[in-house]
Amino acid sequence: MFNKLKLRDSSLDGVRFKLSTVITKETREKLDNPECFLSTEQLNLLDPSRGLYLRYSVSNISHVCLDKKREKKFFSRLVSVVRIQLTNGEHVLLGFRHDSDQSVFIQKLEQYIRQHKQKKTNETSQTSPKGVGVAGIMQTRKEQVQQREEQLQNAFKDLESLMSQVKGLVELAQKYQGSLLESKVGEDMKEVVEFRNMAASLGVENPVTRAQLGGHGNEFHRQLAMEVYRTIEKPLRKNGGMMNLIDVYCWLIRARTTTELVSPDDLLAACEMFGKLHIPIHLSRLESGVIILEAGFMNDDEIAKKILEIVQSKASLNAVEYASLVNIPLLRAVSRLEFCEQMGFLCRDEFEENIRFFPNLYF
Amino acid sequence: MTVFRYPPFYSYPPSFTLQPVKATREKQLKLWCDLVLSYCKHYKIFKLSVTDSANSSLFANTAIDRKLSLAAVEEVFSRLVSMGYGEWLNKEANVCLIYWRRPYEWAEIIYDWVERSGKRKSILTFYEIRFSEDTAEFEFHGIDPELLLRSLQVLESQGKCAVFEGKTNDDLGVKFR
Repeated sequence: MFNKLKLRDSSLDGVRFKLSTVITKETREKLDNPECFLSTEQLNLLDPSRGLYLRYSVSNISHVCLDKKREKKFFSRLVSVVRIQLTNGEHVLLGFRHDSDQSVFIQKLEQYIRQHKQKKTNETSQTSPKGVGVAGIMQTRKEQVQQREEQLQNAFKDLESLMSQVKGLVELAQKYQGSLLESKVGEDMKEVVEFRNMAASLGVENPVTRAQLGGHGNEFHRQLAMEVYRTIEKPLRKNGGMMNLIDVYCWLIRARTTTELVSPDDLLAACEMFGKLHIPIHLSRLESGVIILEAGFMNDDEIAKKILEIVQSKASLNAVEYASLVNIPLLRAVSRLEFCEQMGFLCRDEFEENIRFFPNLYF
Repeated sequence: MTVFRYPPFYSYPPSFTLQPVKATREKQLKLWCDLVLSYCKHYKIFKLSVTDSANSSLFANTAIDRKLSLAAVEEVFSRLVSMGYGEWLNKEANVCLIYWRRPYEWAEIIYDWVERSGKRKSILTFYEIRFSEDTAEFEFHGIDPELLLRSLQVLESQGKCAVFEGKTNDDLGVKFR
């Protein structure tokens, strides 16, 4: 919510920056000649002409970064946007008038955020004095766990913040693995499993998960494999029994109504389990390195008829057109069309090195 | 003479590519053979040269910019010959008699005309059969001499006529019985 500005508001001190655009979750209002004031305690966004301001406490800001993705989307001019991530999961986007302001702003804000965090930890360590002996060790351990948990929680809030924190997570995972190996007879197995699943769903290359599960795969991938089958059975049929793994991934993400994302690595791992789970889809790796899924639940006749339908919908197709239409590699498209021709559903028209396929009208 | 109407498959681009799949190719060649026979019947063509016809509108559809290759045209001709609807006139296999009527059918038609016009027991030259005014309204008017000879040989084998030798084809004579 915007607050009304009182003249000579003493709280609006700090460094002043001129902005071009402000986007917050709270308001899509356009601010005229917006400005911001950054102090060690507060970030104030300000519309001087209307006397409105928005206030954020620095302690409520989790981090700040450049949002390169939005460069062109919001501005006709190529200007990058500063993204301020709040601890409540929301974010604020700021566009600066002067490019030089941007880096100064980020540098200062980062410094202030660090100071706040430092203060916080000092406070907590003061309020809970470290014990000695076993109790002390347990206390420290508990605090560490809490801190890690917080980090994990933040990471899952949204993908973008996740991307910025993933590096820290990997480090954390490696550290965690080290301590796990040390205390193999861990009492708190529940926590271990939970962490492992989290890390697995992040696609973090985690030797703990992979090594311990061996070749058996885990429940997560098994479930995912079933889900993939349910989701892509129809589109796979429609595409003539063949789909690019990238398309499968898109279908899966789109089909998932929840915000839980699946990493490509997990999808691949799940697809590799099709055989073991007796799911009639084959994963094959083409020479070009492209990975595709082929429907084993369709017989040749069915597949050929689907290809024919696709060709019929366009009257005639060459391999390039077919490949781009169903999004498979060119060589594969050629073999598909020739297969359909062999089945007697298509005829070819060779003209100046270009082969077009037509529905077979001879029968 | 009316313009020949091509069948629908003549406007279908794949018709001009010899199909690699056997069953499809068989059907395709059958349609081409049918087209050649009806085309020749329409224009009263009795023999075709492979190379000439490959460049004619019979095997090239300019409307869709497609043309049957020479190899494919040869394939069509050899199919006609193997089915008994054509006969090579030379060893090089480049000129072919097209039998939109087979020699025995021509023989029947000619003998029918001989009987009806009271030409039995008389001698006629090939030229008279092919170009006289008497035959103008008949299908065999303008018939190719090679084909006429083959047809008359059919009648000869039935004992209905005797063919006399001459210096050229048109000097050949025939006596009907």
